[in-house]
Amino acid sequence: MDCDRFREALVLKRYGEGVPDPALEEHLAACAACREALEDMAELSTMYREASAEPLPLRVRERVLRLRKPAPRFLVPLAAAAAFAVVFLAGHFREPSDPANPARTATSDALVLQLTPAEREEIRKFRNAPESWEQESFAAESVEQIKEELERFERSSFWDGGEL
Amino acid sequence: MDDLLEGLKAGRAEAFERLVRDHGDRLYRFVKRMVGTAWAEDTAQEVFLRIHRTVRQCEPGGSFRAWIYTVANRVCIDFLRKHPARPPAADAAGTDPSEAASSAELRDTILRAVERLPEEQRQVFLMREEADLTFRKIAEIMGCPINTALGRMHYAVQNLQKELAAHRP
Repeated sequence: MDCDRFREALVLKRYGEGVPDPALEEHLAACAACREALEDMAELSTMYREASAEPLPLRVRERVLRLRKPAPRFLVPLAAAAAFAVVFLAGHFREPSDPANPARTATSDALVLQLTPAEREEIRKFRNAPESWEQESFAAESVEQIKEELERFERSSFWDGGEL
Repeated sequence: MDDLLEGLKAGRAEAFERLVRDHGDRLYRFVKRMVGTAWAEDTAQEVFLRIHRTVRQCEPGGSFRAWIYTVANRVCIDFLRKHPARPPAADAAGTDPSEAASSAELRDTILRAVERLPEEQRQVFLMREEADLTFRKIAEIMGCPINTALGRMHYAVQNLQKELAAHRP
């Protein structure tokens, strides 16, 4: 039997996506192997979904939700200061005075480059006038990202010899 | 779904919480099976960060779910390109079939088998099973004809069934 001809149609039928196909139905009526393949696909799907049922870990959920939380007002100047410190440190590391750690130099530079001009402008604006929630959030998020990138750098240097 | 998208674009915290609540578990599972357990948490976090940063590019009226999995898929592929030598999922094929017969071991076997599928088969399988996307959407995301996506699914299922058959008593 020409089972290969119905390969794609069988997959579509399993997921209820295909349009009614009289040729496929006729083939299924005559072909026990394809009927079995259809049942096996459904069984595999059920097994996978049961095996895979796992929630987003709580610590990841918390880290992710911090992305959208405005920083407490008293922390906002600290966040801005941290952002500028990183920018300053990147300048420092760019100097040839840090030959011992070229990977870190590259990381700091890369982090600064990751800030868009709009983000830099937001941080500058917000340093002088931390008025709106959006500005605070934007700046805090940038700092958060920088901190996380640095953490990731530390971990990656432990895991794969310092390459990002 | 459009109000979620609008909320995300407006930067509303409750919209982001809803994104994590409604899509977090499935996105995490998609990422975990794509990049492996060791890197799943960092990569999942990167996916949410990327969604957050690029949500303004998401067109209203389209499928928001397809868009977030487009982002997730891209983050995973970027990761896999940067880490081609990631540790492979442990090979369950070497275990004694009689020992692998319990349901817990069978679950473990299927998850590892999914992680070991060739990348393109794994993408299609996960986008269909975890993201519940249609093959038409999957083909759009992967930039291939729908029959190619269906063929990849067919081979993914065949490969998984072979692995399971080897572990059944």
